[in-house]
Amino acid sequence: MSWRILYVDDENDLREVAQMSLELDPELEVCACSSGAKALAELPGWRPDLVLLDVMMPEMDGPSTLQRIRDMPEGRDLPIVFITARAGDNDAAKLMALGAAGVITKPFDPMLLAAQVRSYLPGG
Amino acid sequence: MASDRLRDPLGSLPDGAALLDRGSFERHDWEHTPLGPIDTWPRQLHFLADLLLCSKQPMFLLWGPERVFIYNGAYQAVWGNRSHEGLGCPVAQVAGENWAQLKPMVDEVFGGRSFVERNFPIPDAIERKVRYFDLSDTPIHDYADSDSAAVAALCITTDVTEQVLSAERMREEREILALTVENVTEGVALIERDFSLVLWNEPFREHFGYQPGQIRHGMNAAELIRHSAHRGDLGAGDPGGIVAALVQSIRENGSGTLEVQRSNGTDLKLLRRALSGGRHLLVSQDITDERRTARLKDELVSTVSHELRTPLAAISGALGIVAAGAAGDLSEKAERLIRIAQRNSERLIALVNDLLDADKLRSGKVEFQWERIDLADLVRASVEQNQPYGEGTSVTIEAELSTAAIVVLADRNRLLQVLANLISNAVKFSAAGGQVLVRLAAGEGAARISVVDRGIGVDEQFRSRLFERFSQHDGSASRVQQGTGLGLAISRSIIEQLGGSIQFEPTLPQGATFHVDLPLSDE
Repeated sequence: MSWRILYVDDENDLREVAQMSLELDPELEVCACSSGAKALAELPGWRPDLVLLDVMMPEMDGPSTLQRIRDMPEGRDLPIVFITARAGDNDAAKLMALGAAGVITKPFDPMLLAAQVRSYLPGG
Repeated sequence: MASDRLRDPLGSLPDGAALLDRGSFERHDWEHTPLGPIDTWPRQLHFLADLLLCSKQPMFLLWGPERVFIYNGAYQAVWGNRSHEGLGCPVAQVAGENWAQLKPMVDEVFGGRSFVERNFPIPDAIERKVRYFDLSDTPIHDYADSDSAAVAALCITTDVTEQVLSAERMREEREILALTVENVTEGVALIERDFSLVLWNEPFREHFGYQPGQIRHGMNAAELIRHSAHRGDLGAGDPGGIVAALVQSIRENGSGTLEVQRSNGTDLKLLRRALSGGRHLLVSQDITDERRTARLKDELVSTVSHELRTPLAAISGALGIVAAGAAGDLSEKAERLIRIAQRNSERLIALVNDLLDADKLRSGKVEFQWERIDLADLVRASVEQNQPYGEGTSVTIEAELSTAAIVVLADRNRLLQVLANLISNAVKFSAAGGQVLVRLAAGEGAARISVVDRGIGVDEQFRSRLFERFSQHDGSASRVQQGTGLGLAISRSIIEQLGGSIQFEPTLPQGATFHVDLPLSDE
């Protein structure tokens, strides 16, 4: 059984490291995008099981990308997990209120990231 | 009547001076004065001389067309004269160069007018300072012919030096106060019991934006408060309510601090202090810059921490993957170096996290998740969670719990954070093979968790700074123990915001104990 993760982050180095971390789990297949717009373009064709979304991004930030995904028929019930460097108690609560399945904070433990993400997958 | 070495309270005499009394008065060489021998004097002059000699009040008499100067012992003491100088001489001669100034006054009395000359300065020859007298001047008419011109002038003096000097001191003090008030950057206003404004300075007027004519001495301060409230300068809300609350608080002699933002965006801090006699002191400070700086700092900390955390996440992530061997095998040396890099990136992350946390706690932005907590469960969980700290140095961490349930209202995760900090500190400063004890007990209305170690303890001179930010016990460049220096400051902030307190106590004979006291839950 393998799961498809659509991961969106504008930070190139971090995106590469996070993708590698996720792919340490052989059952996770990752598509990494550098912007919300690219993610929206990928989503209908790639059909992910979960979206891992950075919060602060230029042009379309994480919350706006979430709204746009929710407006798509493929994204209405998709679990969306935010990954953010701004992770105060209040920030996390606000993100959850937008309809996110969870919030993962940066810096993350690269050896645990895959397990963290898996916990938000259906039956995880 | 004692005469020698007598010091009259009205004045002072030099040593050996003879104070004029009836005996010395009668023995005086009157023959060589315009008055002639004493037994040739008219009855009225005898009577007046008697009056002078009987009186303790300093007085003098000017008699006849020559204005002959006759005084009593008390008056001699006022001048502090050693001998009976000038007695029986024409006053013009006695006064010397001052006569020109005195003559009109003397003529006025002889002209029939009586008056009081207030605060007349008389130099005191002994104490070399000026004394002040009220001089009460009265014309004396001939017994037989009261319509005639005055035959003498009687002058009764009253020493008012103390009153004059104390009035002068008061004036000086008022001047100093006024100067001080004028020269401070804070706004200052003083309100009397009846609400009248007695004093204010320019900064006060400027802080509240009153026009120069709008603020007046003696005006009702409530009028000013009303004016400010209606302009929206005392905060948002019903102006009537704001005025009533402020006026009432002043009436009830309340002291306190109020922070308001004026409608023009200026931030003001207003201190009210009740003074004796029902007076009230208002002190205003313009804290606009302070507030702006605080806002900028908040934004900066938040931005910087984000900007730091993102590259740190990439560094620590990459190192983590390599260190775990997930990117292939490493030589022993490379593995050692990677561990060093990893350890230090973790330290940076901890520092950024602590900085953010300390900042949030300080600005009151932390929302606590309040719940009833059984502290025995919490201490047990914390001791278990923190075991790994002790494993490296074989320090054992043990819980000592009371049998009774101890329940507090607090935030579980925040309490665990404080205990983790205290336990990790205790382990850090314990010798290998040592023991850290986490003890739970309940006192009157409060629960106490104590983290006790028998480590190196805390130096006496460091104890007062223990809970300050960036204070680290080992402040040397080659710190033996690493940490962010924020742990105890964060812990205190958390415990205080949970309604408790945190204290240090040395463990005897050696070591440190930290007590966390929290109010017991009422329910």
